[in-house]
Amino acid sequence: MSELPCEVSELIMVRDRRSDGATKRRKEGGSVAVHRCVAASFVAAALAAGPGCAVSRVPQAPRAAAWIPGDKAVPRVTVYGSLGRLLPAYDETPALERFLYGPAPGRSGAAALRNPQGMTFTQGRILVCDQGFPDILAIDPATGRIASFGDSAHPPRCPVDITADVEGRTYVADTTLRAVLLYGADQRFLAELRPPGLAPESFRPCSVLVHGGILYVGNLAGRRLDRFDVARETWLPPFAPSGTALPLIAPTGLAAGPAGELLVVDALQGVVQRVTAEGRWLIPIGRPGRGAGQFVRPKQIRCTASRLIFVSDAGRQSVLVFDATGSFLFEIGGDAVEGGRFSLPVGLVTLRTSDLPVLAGRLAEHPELASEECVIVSDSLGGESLVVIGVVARAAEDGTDAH
Amino acid sequence: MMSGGILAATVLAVFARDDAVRDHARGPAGAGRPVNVDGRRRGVLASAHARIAPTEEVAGVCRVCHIPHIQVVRPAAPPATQPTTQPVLELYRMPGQRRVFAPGEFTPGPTSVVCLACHDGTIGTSTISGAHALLAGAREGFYVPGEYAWRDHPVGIPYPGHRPDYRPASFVTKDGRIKLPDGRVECISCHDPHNEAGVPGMLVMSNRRSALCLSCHVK
Repeated sequence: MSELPCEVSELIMVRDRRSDGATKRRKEGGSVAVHRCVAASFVAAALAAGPGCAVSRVPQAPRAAAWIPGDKAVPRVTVYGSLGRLLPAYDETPALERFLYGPAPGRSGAAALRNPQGMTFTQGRILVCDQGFPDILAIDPATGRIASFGDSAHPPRCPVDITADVEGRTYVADTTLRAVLLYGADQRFLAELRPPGLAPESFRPCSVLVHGGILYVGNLAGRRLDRFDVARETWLPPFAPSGTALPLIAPTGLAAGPAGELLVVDALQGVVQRVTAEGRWLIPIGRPGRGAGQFVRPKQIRCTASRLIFVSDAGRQSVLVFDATGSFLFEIGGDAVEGGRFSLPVGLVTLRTSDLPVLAGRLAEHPELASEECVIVSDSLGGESLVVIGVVARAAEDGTDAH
Repeated sequence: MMSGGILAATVLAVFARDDAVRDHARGPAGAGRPVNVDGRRRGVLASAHARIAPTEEVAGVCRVCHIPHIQVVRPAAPPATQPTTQPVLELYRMPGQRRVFAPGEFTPGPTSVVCLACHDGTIGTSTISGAHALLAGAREGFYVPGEYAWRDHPVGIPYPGHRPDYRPASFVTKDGRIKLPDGRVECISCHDPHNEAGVPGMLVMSNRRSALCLSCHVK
């Protein structure tokens, strides 16, 4: 019997250790157990088909083999695990000190984060708002180095969201300073942005997004979207629903939608508002509630290149996934996240799998698990601080995806 | 005449119902109870939570945390069946990954999650960076910076009522003000989101001379 690759053994251990619980929950009709059991069985069976696998340890033919993806029109999602385990080891110990005393003991990877929230990916780095420091941390996926980002002379007080424009300038929403902090491409602090003529208590930016040359700011205190022309550096008239439209209360997340519209998460209303570039408010996505596809406390939102909409929900402790039309697809949470469930998922960022070299290298050994695109979810209460999720839009394989 | 009477009765009933909701939102149950009671501003509408009301109607502030008839913090029931077109979620466990957060242990419970979902610095004041929740993670091996240590009280921890330096749980919860959901210290153990006591910090009782602390700790 040849030796198992370590990934395979880990997977089978997961399946073995949890089989009792999965069976128990399946009797109760829970879909999560089916997901987990099928996923483990499918992955293990797929890996077992290759050389070097111990047949005796491979679970028997999955009872729910019909769940194995056969419909190419549905997306596939793979939870790869913590980003901290997918970064190269980085040691900041000076060379002489390392020679004398060895590498300094310490934490590495995403474990260095305390309370990560909003994120963005720019210039090859993942920028993470971390309230625990509080600071902006820059994670270099190529080297594994995590460093403070920005101007130490003007640090944020309570960074909750971050975005970047095409010129590399970075905008940070700070709810304590009640301003959007602007940093240049060289990380130098440039300005604190506030709409003119607005009393300080009427501006509390809790989300930011640069889209189409406009910086959109979710203003919690003003219950509206403030707009800033990035090129002209002037404030534009804000967007706010009027008439019979659902009022905007807490715009905690912003993203560009599949059709170019702006998606606005309203955490307190429990919906995702949609607004066009002209300021026309469309029919929202989702509704508050506990049922499938309903929101308890949605926080942030991202749209993938494959036109899937990911919404983090801190109240449900999960991430909800919708298609481009706003139809609910499935939920990632509960036991789906190894190491426990999400505690308080907040931030989302999308990037290509190739931007994570360690992950791309490992997936090269298991092409059946590969994906071109990843979504990283930040858990602001610890757990696995940053969880990487691979996304495969199966319709795209046929070339039928029209993005 | 008859229809007029019915209309008047209906209007009165609607107003009476609205008054009941208003009273509940303002403070302890009881018709006509004012906002100010013995010099304290009590009730949700007298607290910072009134700012989050989506609409000006009285029940609007309740709907933020209470989906009608259902408390939002309860876990959703999964569907009994799953269509074959459902996307497939796969788990891929990377080697060396450890199980850090054990569900049900040292993690904020459902009642605290609904608090922390807002009080993370975005909608409400941040508590997750202020050690309330951070220390809960410390018990599972998380790094806690020195300046945070014991600056604030952790949440999501079992109440150690068996220890001699703590009062028994039954004694702590006997008057109903301090709650220990599932025998754990959560946000609502010390804070009352409905602000019925009307004390600063929306505490369940006054902490004058550390009265709230000494309700649990034997010093």
